[in-house]
Amino acid sequence: MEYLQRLHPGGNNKPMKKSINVSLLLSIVLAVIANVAYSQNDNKTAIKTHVIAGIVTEAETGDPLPGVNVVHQRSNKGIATDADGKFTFPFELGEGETLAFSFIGLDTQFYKIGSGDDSKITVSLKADAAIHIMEAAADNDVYVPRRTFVGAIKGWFR
Amino acid sequence: MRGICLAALLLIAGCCFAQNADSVAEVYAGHSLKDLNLLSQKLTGSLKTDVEKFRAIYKWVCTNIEYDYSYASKIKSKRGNVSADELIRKLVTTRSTVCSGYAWLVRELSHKAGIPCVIVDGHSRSAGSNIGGTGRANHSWNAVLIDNQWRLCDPLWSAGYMSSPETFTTRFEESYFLPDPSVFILNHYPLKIEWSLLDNPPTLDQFLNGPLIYAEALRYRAIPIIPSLFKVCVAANESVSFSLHKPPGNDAVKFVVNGNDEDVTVKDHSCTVDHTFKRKGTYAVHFKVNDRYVATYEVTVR
Repeated sequence: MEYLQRLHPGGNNKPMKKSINVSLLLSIVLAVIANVAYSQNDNKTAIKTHVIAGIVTEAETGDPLPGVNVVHQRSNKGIATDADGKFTFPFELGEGETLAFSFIGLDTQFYKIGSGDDSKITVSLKADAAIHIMEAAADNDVYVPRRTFVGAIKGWFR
Repeated sequence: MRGICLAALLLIAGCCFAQNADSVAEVYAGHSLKDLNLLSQKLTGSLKTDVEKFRAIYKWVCTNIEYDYSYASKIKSKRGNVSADELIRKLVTTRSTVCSGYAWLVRELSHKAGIPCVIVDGHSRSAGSNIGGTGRANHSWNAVLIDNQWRLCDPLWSAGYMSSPETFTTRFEESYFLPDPSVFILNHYPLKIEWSLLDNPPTLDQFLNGPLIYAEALRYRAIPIIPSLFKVCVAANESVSFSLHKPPGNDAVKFVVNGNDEDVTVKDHSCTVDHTFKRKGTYAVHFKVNDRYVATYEVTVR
């Protein structure tokens, strides 16, 4: 409703029911038009889009992998590879967008879409990489500037 | 916009489901780690959606695994020369581990429940680490695929915190469960930048030298934006602006310098304070939301 208020700034409108109804209708029509225009704009962006399709295999054996999750990072849209490990992404994508290929037990791979033909790509997934062992815990401490020796001595004379 | 709506929806859905999933996690408190298939089945079998299942796993791991401080110092001194087998054996037998063990367990239990999940390694940032310098990869967390969307979480930082240099205090921290990636990046910088889940992630240099945030910044989605650097240099009696980006709400925002709190109002998603430092010296300048610290700058007045 906020956008309706923005269309009618101030409270000087005459309290006539009819005019409110008309303006409400008008603003809804406007909003719909704006929405349609926006979504069209969304589809026809300056970047050229193209079909992304191909096959996902297991790196060690080269066997096709069915059921691999193929997810477009920006839209949350995704599909899974078919019984032959093949997929065709449901909509075209532009250069610079990323697809993530993941399968349980295998390392997730990212595919960055280029400007060339991406209709026959091969993505191979390797077994989960070895665990890198890290150690940091949350300390939750509030930062305190480190006092220098000179600063500490100056502090005595403040 | 669509992303924000979805995130809000997921958050609301998450809160409703959380209770159910959390009570499942509580029922199996103290369960053995000898059979991970069995544990995963018990934690997720009665729950319907992936977000509920993952929540039960996450809550169980955060509340049943202990952080092993001495083991962490051993790993730190050996610079990662501990084998994964040894780490897992220790986790299964003692139910205590370091961040990589938490991330491994969340991944394994998720996989057994059919939820894609990965370990993300990278740099974590706090008052004691990765402030300036060249950066040191010191931490592991997780990314999980729920409803076709990759989300982030940090099980160790949700489990508790170091209350003194050698004591780990257990306290569940909600902020690190599926947070907004644009705030999470301020204290978690992945080695593989795709795992930031951002279209325009900052550089490692920007991460290491940006303002410092705390867990509560994620809860309130508060992002310090001005100045862009943690270390600020000004002349005495020169005015300097500090700005915090935050969605509007009823939260009380305060600006803290020299131990004095000053109320700040949030206007159009941000609040700005102009401050003049009169005396030379080094100051810590903070933003607080609802009396919890969210961000810090270090100001040197010359």
